[in-house]
Amino acid sequence: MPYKGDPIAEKLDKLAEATGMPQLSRRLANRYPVRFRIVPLILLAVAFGGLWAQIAVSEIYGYFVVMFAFLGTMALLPFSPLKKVGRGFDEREAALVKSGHFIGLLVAAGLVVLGCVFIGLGVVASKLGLGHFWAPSRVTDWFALALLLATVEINVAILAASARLPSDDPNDEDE
Amino acid sequence: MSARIYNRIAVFRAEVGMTRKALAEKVGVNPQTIGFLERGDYNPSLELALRVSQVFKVPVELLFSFTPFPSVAATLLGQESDNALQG
Repeated sequence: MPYKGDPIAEKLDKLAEATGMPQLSRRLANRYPVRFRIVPLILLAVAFGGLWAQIAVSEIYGYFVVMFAFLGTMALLPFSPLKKVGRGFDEREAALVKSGHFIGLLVAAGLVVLGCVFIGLGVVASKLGLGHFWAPSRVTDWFALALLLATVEINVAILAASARLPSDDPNDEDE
Repeated sequence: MSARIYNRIAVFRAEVGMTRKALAEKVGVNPQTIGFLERGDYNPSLELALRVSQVFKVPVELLFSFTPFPSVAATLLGQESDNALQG
């Protein structure tokens, strides 16, 4: 859709179209989002595996595993129904994003509440000499927990939004 | 609380020869959303329903309904039998 009017602007616009970037941008903006099912589950498993490694194995490797899961999640996000490249959401897409993040935040909040209860009980049990239970104490522990919660929220939101998205693009049917 | 809302956007769109993309641009949504509306996969907001009806210049209840719309063939056959009774 080259610009028409000013001859210099027209030529610059044609030059830009020749690079293929505007077409790519339009295609990205109008593409049908990917309905993710397996990849977010794998990333969640990796993130929880990282937390386990942080608790049981090492004080730094676990953190890097959780960070890897978080970075993988961020790479996934632009292809999911939760993110659009090049334009804003319309009301249907915004509703999908809001409901997805609502479910994601609900699960993350549930994890926080349960986690705090269990860590608190673990600290009390440790003080009473009933065994040694893990509680976050180092900087990397707290960062790993923060990245884990962010990974859980986003991946659950992606799963929830993907589940609510019909399987096929309605515009593929005809036209 | 989300009742199924039936619509005949596709019929009106076909009648005026308008593409989904053109209608989407007129009402300010993604063309995919028009597809979702037509298939009944998404219930529009009141604002969007009014905008769509404004494009076709018809009251909103002619486009959207809680009950399924009769097919075009059934409507035409009904009109023919009415005309026969009157004639």
